[in-house]
Amino acid sequence: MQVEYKNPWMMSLSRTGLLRFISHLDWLAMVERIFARAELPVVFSEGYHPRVIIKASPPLPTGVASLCELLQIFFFSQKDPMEVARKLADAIPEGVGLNWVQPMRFKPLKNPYKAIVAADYNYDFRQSLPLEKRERVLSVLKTLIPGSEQEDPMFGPDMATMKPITGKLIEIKEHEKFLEWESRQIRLIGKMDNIETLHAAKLGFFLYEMVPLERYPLITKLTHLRQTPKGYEPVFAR
Amino acid sequence: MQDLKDKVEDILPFVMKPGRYFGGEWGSARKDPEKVRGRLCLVFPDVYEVGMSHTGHQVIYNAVNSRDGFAAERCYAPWVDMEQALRKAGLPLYSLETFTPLNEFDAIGFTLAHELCLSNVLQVIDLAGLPLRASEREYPLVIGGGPVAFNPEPMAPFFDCFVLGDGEEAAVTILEILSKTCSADGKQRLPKTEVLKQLAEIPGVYVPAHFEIKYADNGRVASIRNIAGGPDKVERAFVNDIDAAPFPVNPVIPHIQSIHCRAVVEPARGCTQGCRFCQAGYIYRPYRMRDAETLFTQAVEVIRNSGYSELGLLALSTTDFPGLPALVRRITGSVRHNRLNCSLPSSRIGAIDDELAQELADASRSAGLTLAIEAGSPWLRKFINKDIPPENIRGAVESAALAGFELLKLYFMVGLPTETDDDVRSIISCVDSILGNVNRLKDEGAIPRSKRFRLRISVANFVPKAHTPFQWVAGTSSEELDRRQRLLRPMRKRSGVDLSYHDPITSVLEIIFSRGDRRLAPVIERAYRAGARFDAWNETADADRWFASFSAEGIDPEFYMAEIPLDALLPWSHLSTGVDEDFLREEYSKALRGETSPDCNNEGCISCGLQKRPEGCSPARFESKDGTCR
Repeated sequence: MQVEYKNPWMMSLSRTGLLRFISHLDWLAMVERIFARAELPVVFSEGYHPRVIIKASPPLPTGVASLCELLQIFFFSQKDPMEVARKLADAIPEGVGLNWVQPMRFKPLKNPYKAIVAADYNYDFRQSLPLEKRERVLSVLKTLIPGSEQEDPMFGPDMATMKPITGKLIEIKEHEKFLEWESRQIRLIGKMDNIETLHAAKLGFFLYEMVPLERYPLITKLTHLRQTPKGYEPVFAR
Repeated sequence: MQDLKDKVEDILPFVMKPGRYFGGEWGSARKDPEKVRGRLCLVFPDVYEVGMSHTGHQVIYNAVNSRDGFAAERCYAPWVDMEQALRKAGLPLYSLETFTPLNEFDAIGFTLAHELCLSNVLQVIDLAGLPLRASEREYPLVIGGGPVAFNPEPMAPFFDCFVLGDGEEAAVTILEILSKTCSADGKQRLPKTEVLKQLAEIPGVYVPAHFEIKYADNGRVASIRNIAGGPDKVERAFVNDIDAAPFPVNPVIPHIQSIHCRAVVEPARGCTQGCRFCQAGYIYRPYRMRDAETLFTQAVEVIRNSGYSELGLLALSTTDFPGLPALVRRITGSVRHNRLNCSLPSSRIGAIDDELAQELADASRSAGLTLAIEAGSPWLRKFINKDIPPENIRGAVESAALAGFELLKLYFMVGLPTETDDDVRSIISCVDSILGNVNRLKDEGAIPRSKRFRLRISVANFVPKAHTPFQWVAGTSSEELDRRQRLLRPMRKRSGVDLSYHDPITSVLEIIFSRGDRRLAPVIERAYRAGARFDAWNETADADRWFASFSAEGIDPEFYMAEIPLDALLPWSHLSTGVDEDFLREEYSKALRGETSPDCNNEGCISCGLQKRPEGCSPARFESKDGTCR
């Protein structure tokens, strides 16, 4: 039987704290269980292994927190957004937050993430780095700025199999503050002309490997952005 | 606590599957440590994914947390990379709920599910910063439970006490005594020896330090004596009214994929089939059923609370539950929007009929049907008291195939006493006969010819376990087990047949420790110090390390593999399951004579010993097999 794709909904969840350490597949299984507990009339795929039909944000690397996990799902029947939000809020575990949930006004998108043009990564080092470490972090990041095709000669043998970063890193914000004020955070905005999450994975990995940062573990957070006349703003602002 | 949590967070990026090492799961209980009188940390000495799939672990967790004033938290054995990271960072092992170091609890309770987790117990005690031996530490108390507690002697020096049998009531009683024997601020306590004397009075609690074991020149146990003035025999704990016993209808849902990602209900506890190799069948007697209405309510509740799309109806012999097809139909009909999938553990062949097969096929979309045949030849099946005529196997397979199952999982064993090569080869004949039946159904047009029917054959190695009629028999060597497994290899050529074995060498370790005594404790400690961890895992198991430890301690492992004289005093003779040792001896004799014993549920009491309990052992909560429950 052909599944009837109607009543499409979009929602944004956050996944922060220690929950950033669960994998994308585990995250999707968790989302399925959230819907089941909320007893929402979600549409399942037909066949031998029925699953909730979810279009989710591209996978984030394990360890990267997300402030904006977009999900597109379908309901069998129309629901009141407030009721849906209330039921979901009662069913989400610690570490997951419901940013917003709303029915889509138009027909469902084949790829609902076309609207997203950029990703905003926030690297939080949890404590201030010494000056030489900070300089090293920045030099690594600058090396990795796309456009310069130059590969860093310091990549070890384990890195040899990894492709160089592609896509465009638009800017490194606040790096001066990072250097001068001993801020513990830096922020990167990457354009989504490739799977942007690879950037987060690789950047985080490079920082760990090359700085090295064992004593300064970083928390990477992701927010999707869309391009506006003024610049980049979080997609589907709350 | 927050400080420890931050430090743990710092090392999580460097370990595999970090989702194992922090709590906060849906359904987990987090009580303020300042507001509880007794705190127990429940430890499962295996990785998180395995421990979270263990129903008993969740039952105890729920039983303690459902009581005001007491808190149970959880901890699992860290994988080797996390262990190294914890040691490198100088961090203690902690509970998942509040990141409390284990040594700050009142008691640590281990679930001992099998003998291959013993090195992990020491790993956990060590990482908690506690001395391994009970005689060298005071608090927290280290308590063991689960099937291994019925012969815990090899681990006796490391534990303060064990709980034999059903633990949900005993765990709370232990915490009550611990809370009464310490000051309100928890800083002053009675000496451990005094507290252990009080604990020993709880039904089912065994304090190893209270028992003196002497050995004869031939190496066998000469005497077992209670030197603390208590009884010489410890009776197991029973939950008499299982219907009233608490069950976790709001279970902890793991963050990451566990071994069994499903909600669970327990239709019954115990089994009266009397399979002579099966330890669970003897140590969990008598058969106690939940009322069908209670079970239905719990099933609906646990599915709604958990969000799982699969429900496991777990009991030793679920298919013996009266009215099972109607119950499955009612449950799936009530929560159908969840696309509920019902699964059963291995089923008794005689109980599978067309109605049950059809209901299970409708309710278990993806899982196949699992049948425990255990032995290929009729003689051997009779020997183990699993007298299944070939026509019953044929009937069950036909029912399953006609109901739409495409996958049958079959359990067999090798290494059984009196087993010959012909007995082993008869497993192949049995499988061929099943395949022949399916092909016949295809020829007759009863099932579509295009339907691919698969058989998954799992061959386990027989391990003689304490408290079973086969507790005296010799274990089979790893070489011989390997040879018998190789006899089955031709089966691999059959189309649609998957064959898997258990590792013979780990089975030998299991045999040694399942019938071991206290003299094995130094071996376990030495193997642990030499790096033994996760011995049930292929990635980390190293039998050489164990046998080197046997040599270094001057212990001959063959002694523990050998046949035990029927009149010998057994290392576990002072621990009672309620089943008489004479009854087990008689069962063993009947096995050798090729006689079977009936299921006392159907054909009356067989005087196994449990009938002597004041509460009796009558399982008859039901009048007939049609599901009419009293």
